[in-house]
Amino acid sequence: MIPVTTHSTFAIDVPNRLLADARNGSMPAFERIYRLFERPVYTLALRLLGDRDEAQEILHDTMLKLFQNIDSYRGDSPFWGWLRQIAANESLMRLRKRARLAYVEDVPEPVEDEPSTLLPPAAADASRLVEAMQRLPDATRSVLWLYHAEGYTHEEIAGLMQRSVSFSKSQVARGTRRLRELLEVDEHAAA
Amino acid sequence: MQPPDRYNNAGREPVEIADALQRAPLEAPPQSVWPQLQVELSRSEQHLQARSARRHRHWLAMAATLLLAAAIPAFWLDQSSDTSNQQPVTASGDQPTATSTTTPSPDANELALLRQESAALEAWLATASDDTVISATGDGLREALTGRVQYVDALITDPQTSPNTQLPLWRERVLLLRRLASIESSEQLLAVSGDADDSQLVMAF
Repeated sequence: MIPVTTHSTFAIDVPNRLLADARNGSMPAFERIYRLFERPVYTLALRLLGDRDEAQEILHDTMLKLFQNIDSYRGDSPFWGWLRQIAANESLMRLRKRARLAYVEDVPEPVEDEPSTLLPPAAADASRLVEAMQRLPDATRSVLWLYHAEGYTHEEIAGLMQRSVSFSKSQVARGTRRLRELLEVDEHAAA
Repeated sequence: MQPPDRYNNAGREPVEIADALQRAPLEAPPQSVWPQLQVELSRSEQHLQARSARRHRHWLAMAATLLLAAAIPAFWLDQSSDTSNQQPVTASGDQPTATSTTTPSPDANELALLRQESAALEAWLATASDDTVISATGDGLREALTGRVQYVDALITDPQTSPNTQLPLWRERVLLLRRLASIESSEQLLAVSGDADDSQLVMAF
């Protein structure tokens, strides 16, 4: 089974008939699936990559891969989870390409036992939150989004990113702390 | 640790990070990519049909490609087996410190090395891939192998997959990526040699 959570923006049920039509190569079925998932795929790619042009390319590549390999969908987990996995893999592969061969493990920083998960009130403003997220390093932003917004576990993120569990944990801690600092600065500036 | 009380001034409440991120609205692409996909899917369908019809004429070309594909992995094996000079890596993938007192298990070491090689191969494939020239045989093999890599990835990230199977899965992943790398190298060799067999080389676009 592919990791799934209930609150993901991808969590859209696809009728079996629609899937069957898509497997048979029906172009209208492909189009309907595309319309259903266009925004979730684009948003995931945009949050991970932080670049609209690259996110658009990932949307294209993910959908093409999806339709060309739809026969390999086993049906033992929700279809949207399978699609999300392809989108996440495509986005992370792009990030790795961006970093070239910088695949050596980072030295993880110590993680607090119970790190705070609260952000300043400014985080309620989506545009300010997204802007602050944009200012985080690629890997930190990606891990933070996969963990908190998509509900992946640290183990799943470690597998996706070909890193260790401690890497994922330290990125979440570091990202949350940095996001809090950025939004606090916003709060002070607005005061 | 609880948040500072200063967030409560002016009657505004702190926000849970997960709630805040999940509430962020979905973004729409500047333009739909569906028209482009439609064209490519149609072309792909035609390409598959044409390839199927020509398959019987390609057995010799495929044998040559496979011969090259078999030769190139030796290069990668040499590269990857030369790990004696690398620093040992712990199960978590972290470099051991001077104060480390435990010795990582051989499996953990191998897993960390496999992950490193996997990332290196993927990065190489991402940078070396030339989509302008694709041979019919190489394209088919590449598609099949890429599909198998995705299948292995799904198993690796499946929480129900036993930790004991992680090592064989990562071995399989690296093996598949080595094969993909060998195909990529073969494609480039064919392109450089200027092979004029237009039944073997087709322009992707």
